[in-house]
Amino acid sequence: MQFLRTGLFRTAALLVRLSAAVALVSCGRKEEGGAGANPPPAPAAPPAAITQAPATEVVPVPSTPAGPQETAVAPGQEKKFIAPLKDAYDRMDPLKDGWESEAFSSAAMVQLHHLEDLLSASGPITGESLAGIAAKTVTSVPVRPAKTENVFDDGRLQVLRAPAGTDTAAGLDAFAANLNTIRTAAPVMEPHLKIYRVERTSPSSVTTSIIVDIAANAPDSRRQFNGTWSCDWLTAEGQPPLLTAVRVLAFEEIVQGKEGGKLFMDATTAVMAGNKSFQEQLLVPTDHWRDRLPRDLGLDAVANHGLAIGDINDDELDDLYICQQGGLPNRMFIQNPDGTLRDVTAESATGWLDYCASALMVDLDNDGDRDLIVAQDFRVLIMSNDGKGRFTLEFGSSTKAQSFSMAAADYDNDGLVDFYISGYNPAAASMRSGAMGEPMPFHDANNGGESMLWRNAGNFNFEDVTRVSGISQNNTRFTFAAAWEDFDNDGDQDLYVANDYGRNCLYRNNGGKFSDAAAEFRVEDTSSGMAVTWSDFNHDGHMDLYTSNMFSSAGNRITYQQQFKKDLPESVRAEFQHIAQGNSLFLAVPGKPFQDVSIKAGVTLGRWAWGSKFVDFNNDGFDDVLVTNGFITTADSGDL
Amino acid sequence: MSQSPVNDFSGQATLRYKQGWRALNRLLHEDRSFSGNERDCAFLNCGGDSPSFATVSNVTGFDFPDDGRGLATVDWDFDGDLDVWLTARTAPRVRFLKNNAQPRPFVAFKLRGDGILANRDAIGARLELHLRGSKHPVRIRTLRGGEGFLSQSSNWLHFGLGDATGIEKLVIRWPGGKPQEITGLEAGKFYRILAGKGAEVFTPPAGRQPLTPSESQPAALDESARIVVPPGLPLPQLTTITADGTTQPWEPKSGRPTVINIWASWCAPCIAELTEWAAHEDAFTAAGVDIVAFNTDSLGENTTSDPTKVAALGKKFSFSLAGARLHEQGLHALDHLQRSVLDRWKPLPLPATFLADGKGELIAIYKGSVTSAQLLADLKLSDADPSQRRAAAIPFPGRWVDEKAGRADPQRVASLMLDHDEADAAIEYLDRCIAVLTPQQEQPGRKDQLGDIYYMAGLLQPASSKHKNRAIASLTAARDLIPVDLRIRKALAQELFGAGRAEEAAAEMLAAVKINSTDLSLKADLADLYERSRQFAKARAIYDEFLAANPKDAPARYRLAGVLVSLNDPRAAIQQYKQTLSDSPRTLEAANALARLLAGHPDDAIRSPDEALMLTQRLCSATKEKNPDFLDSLALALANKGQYPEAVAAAQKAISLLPANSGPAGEGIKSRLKLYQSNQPWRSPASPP
Repeated sequence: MQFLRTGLFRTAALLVRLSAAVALVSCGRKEEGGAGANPPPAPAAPPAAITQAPATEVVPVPSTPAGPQETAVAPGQEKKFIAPLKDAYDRMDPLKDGWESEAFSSAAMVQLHHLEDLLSASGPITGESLAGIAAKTVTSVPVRPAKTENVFDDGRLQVLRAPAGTDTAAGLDAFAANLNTIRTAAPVMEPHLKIYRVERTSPSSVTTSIIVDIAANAPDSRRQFNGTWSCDWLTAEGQPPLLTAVRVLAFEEIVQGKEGGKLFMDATTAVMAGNKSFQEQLLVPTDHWRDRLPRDLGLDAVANHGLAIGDINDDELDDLYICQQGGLPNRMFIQNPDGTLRDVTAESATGWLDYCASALMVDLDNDGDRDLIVAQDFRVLIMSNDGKGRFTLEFGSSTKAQSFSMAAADYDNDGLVDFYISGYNPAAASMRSGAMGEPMPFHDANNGGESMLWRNAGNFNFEDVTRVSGISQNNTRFTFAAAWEDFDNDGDQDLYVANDYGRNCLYRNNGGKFSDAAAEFRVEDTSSGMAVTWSDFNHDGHMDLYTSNMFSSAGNRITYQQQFKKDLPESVRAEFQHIAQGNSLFLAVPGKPFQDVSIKAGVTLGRWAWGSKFVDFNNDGFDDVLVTNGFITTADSGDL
Repeated sequence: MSQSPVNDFSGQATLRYKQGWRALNRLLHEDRSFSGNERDCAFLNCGGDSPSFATVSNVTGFDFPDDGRGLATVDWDFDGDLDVWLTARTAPRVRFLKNNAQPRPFVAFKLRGDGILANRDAIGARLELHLRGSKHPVRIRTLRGGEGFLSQSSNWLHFGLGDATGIEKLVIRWPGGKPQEITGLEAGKFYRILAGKGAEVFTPPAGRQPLTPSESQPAALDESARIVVPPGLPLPQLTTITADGTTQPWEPKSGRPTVINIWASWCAPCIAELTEWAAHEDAFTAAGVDIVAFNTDSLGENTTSDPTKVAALGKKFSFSLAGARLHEQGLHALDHLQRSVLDRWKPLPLPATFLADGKGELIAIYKGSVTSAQLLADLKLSDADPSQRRAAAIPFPGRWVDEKAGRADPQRVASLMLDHDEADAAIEYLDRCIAVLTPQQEQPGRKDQLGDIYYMAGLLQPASSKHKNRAIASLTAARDLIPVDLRIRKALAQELFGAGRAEEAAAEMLAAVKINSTDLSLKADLADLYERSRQFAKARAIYDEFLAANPKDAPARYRLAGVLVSLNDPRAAIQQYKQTLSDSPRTLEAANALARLLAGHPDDAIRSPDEALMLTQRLCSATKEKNPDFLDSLALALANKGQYPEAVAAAQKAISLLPANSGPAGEGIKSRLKLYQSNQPWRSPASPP
């Protein structure tokens, strides 16, 4: 493998030299050897055989009745971005926007990275080694308090907490000693410090709030320290900032219990290894396919592809369906009695090659087997199951928007399962490519694509009831996900909808007619909603709500600056601050609006969160939360 | 009514992509990391009286750095705790995580509805588990069909029993059905429950494979690739540098497929590749294929290339142009071409090869080396239809929703050129596309494609000094190909108006209005165009019609008033200005125009000195005496009242606020100042200005 990388190294370096307008190669790479040096061979070409796909079936895809006539949007007009991309862009270079706090934050992060290096180095930290980071008079407290309270211990996980530290000492040696408190028990340290609040307190001083996330693992034990520090800095023009005070505002230590190893163990290979598709497709990153499949087949950088778990061959063992990018077939796996999976994509006839975001396995005709609904970009496909896991396309329709998550429930209590399909970008028909040939993101907060509610009319007939049911209210906010729940315990299914751009919706069901009660119940959650999950996590008999959003430390820093939207009322600023706050937890209060307990409960920091689910992962009867996150990771390290 | 076609479609404005979008779009394609390397999170419910969760991502081992997406749960191994399946953007794109929480007391249920009142899957069923000896004796769960993000979890419902000493009963609220109570349940069991029937213990199958830990080893990225492209993508213009240093455009031989290769003398894989091709030159000749190898030694900052070595190697291969140097423009064009096909934009590597058919359209791109056998095999795709090309482009079998595949979008190449400030190259590439597509325009779908290309060219040309005169012709061609496209009509109207062909422009807008009579903005644009071409009566008719449908549209009414002034109907104009202000009191321009009419009209019966003065004073105080136009109007009103010293002061202040190069507007104020200084009021000309 090594020669291959070097070969690419060479080609990349060549392009650095060639490029003026083509110049988009990442910086910092230097060519090894001069021109004329013999480069190693480039990788071999792909196999000579031309892959032939089997003949594709003709699929009838009835289109939905035409909506109101839409005219094409002319180029050159003022438009907004699709969030979350908007946020990504905003975070690209906040320095350019003249945020002095951001310039400071960058300089302070350099210092904190030095501190991280000292914390993860093998020997103890000395006062001398801190001289470039902290002022001689720096005051500090032990970063791992001597006295902690045991707030949770189930044998596998122990949680220790301590309030703000008061045991202050001055000087670099004291600071070193206070830092070493966290090192003593930890052989391998992985510290991550992140500034999330910046406030200039005088021309020469700044105070910051810092998220502390330190992993300390050994082969047979795992430990982590979570917390918040408040740090003061001395600043001077042209000089790196120096720490003058380090306070611990909150401290939490998690210790792996005595019972066994870590809770989650990756066993993918044990279950999947027997399948060629696992090695050839699922172990290969999305970017590999974006390098070689024409984009017209339906490929993108974000790669929002999900999965469905359910039994499709009536053996009570759950099977697995995985959605993929365009040009790669979705995969259906059946669970063998021994717990391993076998790929039945071809036999099941579910290997859709088009871009698919999600799927549901639901018995749509009440015949005892589970049928398949596939959210295929701007279409929805419905396939019936013959009871043995072989599927036939029964119904297809274009949707009014790019489809993401789906949620099924019998909203009208007629015994047939209906489904909601989230709509994001408007349908292709209304987005005819713009003047420059790019898919222009011509949207604003209220012209996302429409999500749809499909009523199951029996025998694989489905009706678009979006309008007649009332779901059309507040229905153009770039929806990513939804989940049904009878939150008001009145016997019918209500629907919470997570919108990326715009407030979330809580459609309250009143005999099959919906109205958005999100404002009334204070669960609008002005933030970039990606997912929603329900659970009675505190066992009070009422379902509570958790949403995935985006935690942005840059967003936190900026929205709390005085210069941020300074002409707006504090309530509007608070909304902006909420956008960057992260995930939300809403506690149900019977007969009253939900209560936002996100910060108090300590569940906001889900990063750039996508999937979220209440899961009782330690099996103690209380639902915990799992979150998947991360927008786009590449070899480029310029993350913000 | 917000924007007239003239304001909206100045040549530059059509080129103005939203800058931020462009930058973001590029970064997303160009491998920038955004909130990457984030670790998945696990929050432990500490179970106290007030909501409190601990972050246990690292200790639980859940902290994968994947770009995580979906998340679903299932007790896969039937050990009584919930295992997790994940999907991700990065590799591995699927993970199965075994949960090691056991042994802990639990119970699990799988429900089956009657299929009449309650759906078979029992989605929406609410379970209430009543426990003995627990601080929290009632636990509720709902069976959901889809939750979280892009995910559906198992419909086995699982309860960890925690501190409970036993199970009292289970109450099931079936969707659409009656509640059902079940007793006699034991911890540690899996129960299947049919609506209305009792619970039946399910015994998981024996002989399960052990779930051993495994770190999945994702494949490393490999940038060598064979990319089969959809038909319809013409090659861009390439230029070579001849021995004497002049540039010369290069074209493939008409009717003959061509292999275009770029190589460098220091690039060993390039030499190896060309050597292999040379050994099979007969096969290429027999297939009627030309091989063109462009040398890139002298490109970029490296000028140390050895022309003798290049020439010697060129001779050795004897391919056409093997010793010829590719001009930098040609490399850029090829780079744009490959990027236009792919979603991930990486720089073109060496060697790289482009296979084109006899029409000059691309068949495939090869990054890294390609064998002669592969090239000759791919040549068979020359006449393949879009569906056959698509079948050849994908690595694994499957089924498409649409049997018919689409054609390439060559406008993306032009778009990339534009993004790199190569607007002329973009226009010239579109010209090539037009040349290729014109003979095919009777084939299905091609007219629209050709029309769109003409339209894009027509938008780009006005900003190009080289091509600006062709815009009207391009847009006319686009209009003739797609007569129903409003965007094209508007753009054409704009260009025609700019060229002084106002009547033709109005005809285009009139056609646009007929195409979509419900779009009122088109009517407003048409009226504006009539006004600007001094067809005031026609403009008035349109505004009247428009306002009948939109009586509260203040900008339209303001424009109507202006038209009425031009039509020498000051009384009607005054009425419309007043109505505008009544509908939209902050329309300062309307107040100003009204004041000028009331202060400066030659007809004594129209003028209303006090009203004019009051209006202008308000305007100036509202704008803190910083608006020269309003100060000019104030001076006018003051002079009209005979207050000449104050009028002079106001006019002087207006002049002091004018920008350095204020043109006729400034001259107007200065000439009025002279009148005031000689104690004379100003009167607007009798005929409209």
